[in-house]
Formats: sequence, C-alpha cells, structure tokens
Amino acid sequence: MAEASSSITEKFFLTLKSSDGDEFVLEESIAIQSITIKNMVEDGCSSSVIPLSKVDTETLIKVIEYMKMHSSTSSNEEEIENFDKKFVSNSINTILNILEAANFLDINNLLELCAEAVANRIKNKTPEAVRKIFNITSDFTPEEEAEIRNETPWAFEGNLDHSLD
Amino acid sequence: METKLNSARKETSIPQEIIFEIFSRLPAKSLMRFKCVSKFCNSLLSESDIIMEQNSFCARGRFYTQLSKRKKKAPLLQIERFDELYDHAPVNPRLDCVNSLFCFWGLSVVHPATFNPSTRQHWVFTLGIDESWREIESIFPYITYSPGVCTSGIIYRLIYRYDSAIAAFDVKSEKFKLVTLWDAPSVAAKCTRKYTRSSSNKVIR
Repeated sequence: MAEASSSITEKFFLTLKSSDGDEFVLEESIAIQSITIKNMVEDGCSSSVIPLSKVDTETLIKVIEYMKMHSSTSSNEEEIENFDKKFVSNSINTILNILEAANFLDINNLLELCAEAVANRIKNKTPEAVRKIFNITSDFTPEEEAEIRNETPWAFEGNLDHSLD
Repeated sequence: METKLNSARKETSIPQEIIFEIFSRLPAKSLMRFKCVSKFCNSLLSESDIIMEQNSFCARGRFYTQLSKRKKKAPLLQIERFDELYDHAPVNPRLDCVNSLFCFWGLSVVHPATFNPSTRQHWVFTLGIDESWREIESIFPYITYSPGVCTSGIIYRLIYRYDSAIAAFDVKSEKFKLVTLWDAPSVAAKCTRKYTRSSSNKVIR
C-alpha cells in the first residue's frame, strides 16, 4: 500500500505491436483514448505487449500521432484543428486504413474525422470510382444497374469526379 | 511526412459498418448515385436508417446534417444539394418537412415569374420521387414568418398579407388554404380532419 502514493505521478507505458511486428511504446494515458485498449488495460491484459493484428505499421504510426496530439494538454484548439486538417489530407487509401483502425481500436473522434473526410472526398465521385476506392465488385447485372440509375437520373447530373483519390 | 504517400489498400474490401459510417455523412444526391455501387449499398441506402436519419431530423422542424454523433448543425445544406438549390436560394430559406416531403417557402413578397427559386413561392421536393424541386400552385404574394409548424400532414405557417394570417399547406393534396386569424381554430380543425380522413399517403417512398 505504501507504493500507492507514488503511483499518482508515475507514468505507465504500454507496448503496441503492429501487424508487421513493429513495437511502439506509448504512455497509457494516451493509448486509452482507444476504448479497445482501455478495456484491455482494465482487464489486466496490458502487462505484456498488446498485439494489434489488424493495424499495420504505417497506419499505427498515424494513429499514435493522432492520439498524442489529441491527448496533449499543451496543444491548443487551433493546433489540433490544423493538425486534423493536415491529417485528412493524406491519400484516401491511407485515410481508409486509419478509419478501419479507428473502428477496430474504437477511437470515436478519429473515426468521425476520417469518415467525414472520406465522405467529403467521394461525394462527387462516380459509382465506378467509389467501387475502386472501396475495393467493391459490382454484383449487379447491367440491366439491374441501369434500372437503379434510371430511378434518380438527377443524381448523375453535373461534373462527376472519376479520380481515385 | 515520414511515411510514403501512396500507401496501398489491403486486398479486402471496406467493412460494411465503415461504409455505413461514411455514407451516413453524404448528401442525398451522392447517396442516390451510390445505390448502384453494389447490392449491399443499394439495400443500405434503400432500407437503412441513413435516409430515415435525415428525415427524422427534418421532422423535428430543424435541419441538421446527418452528422449525428458530432451534433454538428448545418442547416438545410444537405437537402438543398438535391438540385443545387443552394446556389439560388435566399440566404435564409424557409423549409418545412412532413413525411419526407420538403416544402420550400419564398422569403418575401414576390411574384412567381422568374426561374430563380428565391423569387418563386412554393417549391416541394418529395424524397425518392421528385427529381428536383418542383413548383406547385401557390396562393398570393406574402411575407412568411419562421418557423412553421407541421402536424397531421399539414404545414402551418404564420404569414403576413394585408393582415396576419396562417397559411396551411396540405402536404397530401399540395393545396394551400389561407386561415385568417380570428377564424383560425375552426378552419384549421377542418383542414386537419379532412386530411386525417384520407388514408393513402403518397409522399412516402
């Protein structure tokens, strides 16, 4: 019980391991922005390395960058806003990877930031571009697709964006 | 930037719950277009809460975007993008909604003569049916006050024409009635009874 008083100022660190096998040491107070990690810590699973099998190294670096910026008491609102703006200017593939990681790690702010960013990027795109970006293969017959298009021809008007980023 | 820009996507397609998260932040025009991306997207956008979510926001007389989690307000923008009405609409357009039907009210005393929506009086948009805002038969030039009240399929709105009055717009028949204020309760009651007697509801998809 004597050690309890010293733990107030003591920093705890966690080790996160990406799917590529790279390990990252992170302060617990920062890492528990992820509800998934927080639950693991509370369940006592954090004494050893936390394996994040669904998050690759590149994505994990980004996620950690984000968590550090958003947990830091020294960063002010304007700094965070600028960081977020720059953050979502990454390629759409990078953002989608981060979005998946945010979903798995249960970091709500990050999920919202990325979902909104992707929505902004794809809102003027063609269905074909969206398929390629999301890696979806159409399971419609050409006739079925034409029928759906004909339901709302106005949705296909205007300058649509064919690019994949 | 210590990381490469062109990171590759994994071979697997995006999980469905993530597609939902993204789609729920899109304007209606994009949603309608992305129905033909795949059968999953079609059913997601035809039956899911995404469209409903937009409606429910409108039904409360306020116009949020569907960014529900962040509780961000973006009045009207999502709806106006149906047909770029935003480019033409007045700064503060009056919009009401009943059962997926949006009614756009002109802002000031104007005559329904030109194409600019801001100078027309009544425009409606039936979600999922109309291709764009269409003009309907309107009553007289008048000044509207905000906000309106929607109940039992009728939108009531205080207006000013010679004297204060209430304009009642029956969403089903798309007809207007002018209710002078001293007679307001009885006429309004008639309007409402008339509506509730008819059973069909064409405005819902």
